[in-house]
Amino acid sequence: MAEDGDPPKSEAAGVGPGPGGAAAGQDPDVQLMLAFRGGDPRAFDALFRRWAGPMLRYLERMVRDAASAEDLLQETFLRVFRARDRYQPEARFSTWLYTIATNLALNELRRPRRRALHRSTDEGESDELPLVLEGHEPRADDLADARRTSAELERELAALPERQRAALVLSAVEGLSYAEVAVSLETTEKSVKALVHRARATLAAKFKGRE
Amino acid sequence: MESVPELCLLYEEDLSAALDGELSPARAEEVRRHSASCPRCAAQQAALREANERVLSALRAPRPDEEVRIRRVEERLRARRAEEAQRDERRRQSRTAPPPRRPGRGRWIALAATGLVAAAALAFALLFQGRTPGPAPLPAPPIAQNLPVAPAVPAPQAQEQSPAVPREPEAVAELPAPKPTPPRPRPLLPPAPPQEQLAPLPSNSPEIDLASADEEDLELASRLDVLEDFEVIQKLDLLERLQKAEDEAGSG
Repeated sequence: MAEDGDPPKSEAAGVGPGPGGAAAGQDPDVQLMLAFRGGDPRAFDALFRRWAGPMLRYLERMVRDAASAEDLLQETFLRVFRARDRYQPEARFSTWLYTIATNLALNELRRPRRRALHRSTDEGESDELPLVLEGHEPRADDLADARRTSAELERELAALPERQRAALVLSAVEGLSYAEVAVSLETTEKSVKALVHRARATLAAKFKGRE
Repeated sequence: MESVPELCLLYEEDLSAALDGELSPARAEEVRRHSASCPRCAAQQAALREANERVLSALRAPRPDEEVRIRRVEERLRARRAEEAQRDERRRQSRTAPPPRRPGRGRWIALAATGLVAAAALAFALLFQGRTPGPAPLPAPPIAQNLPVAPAVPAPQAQEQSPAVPREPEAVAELPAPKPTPPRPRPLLPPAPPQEQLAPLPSNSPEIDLASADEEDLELASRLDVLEDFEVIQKLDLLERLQKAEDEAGSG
């Protein structure tokens, strides 16, 4: 397994030329990363500003804890910073970034303390745990208008197995192709297709059951 | 759980992949045709699409406090970057700079080598001296007279078995005469004056009792490269004491 912060390399990912490899040259983020590798620290700041929001949201979806998501966001960009000298533009920058973030999030979820938290929340054994991020609880009338609040959806999403959740969020929310998700999850496109479908089908069945 | 007809299984995952634009045009057309003729798959695809839209609408919008939180992370990250950049720079400098040469290390090694040669020569001489009236002990090598102050490491307790000055056997008339014992080496050292009590000779054991060494010795030892250096110094100390005693015996 490639190290979390390893720069994108098609050999390490085992996916030939790498998803988005042909487009890597035109990827503005890749150009920024190359500028950073060349010694321009402003390029790193620009990358952070472009990607911090989506990354924070993605990490929150994954670990379901605001403080942990912030820590992981910092760690994700620290890995980018540390890997600057070894960076090779063989895939889209975002694919690499999501790979780092996904590995960090999955590692965080596998920590014993987190795993206990995750299991008990999935089994509905505790109502005290932060399934919904603090300060984001929508009002009741919003619930009626939108039929499903983001809080409910967060809860449904949180109940999915972590790899299904990652595959669905990366694909549907963050807009990564299956090939890019496969790199991030270190699996095959076929597996990603199955993960996304199962996640989506589970959510659809739950929504249907509540109506 | 609802059982899926066998034919529909062939399209099941592609219903979702079609929503993500992950199918080839030909396969997308096949899926579309199947859904048009299969109410179950048509319903399933509609449910998947709705679930997908809910996920998108709920999760894509930024949080109200997102900017504040991102700025907080950015500040922390900036501090960590500065730390790591400094550390990298220090590493780079330590890699390019020549390793600092420790003063006196070469001198210790030279002294140790000379001392070992001298000790071997002395041991050889002592061995022959004990059996035959051989030649006088070799004169001390000049270097031995200028030895630095070696750490005085107390010898282990086992030294009591071979004291530096053999005791006279007590005369006990009732007891049978002692059996002849193998010739022992001629006492080399005269009885030491009380004010210059020699420390008991260290054994051949390489173990060093660091616990009982005084602070000055330990401080010296901490500057040595390896423990072996410390042992060598210990041997040099022994050599110096022997030499001194022998000189006194010769002059007296």
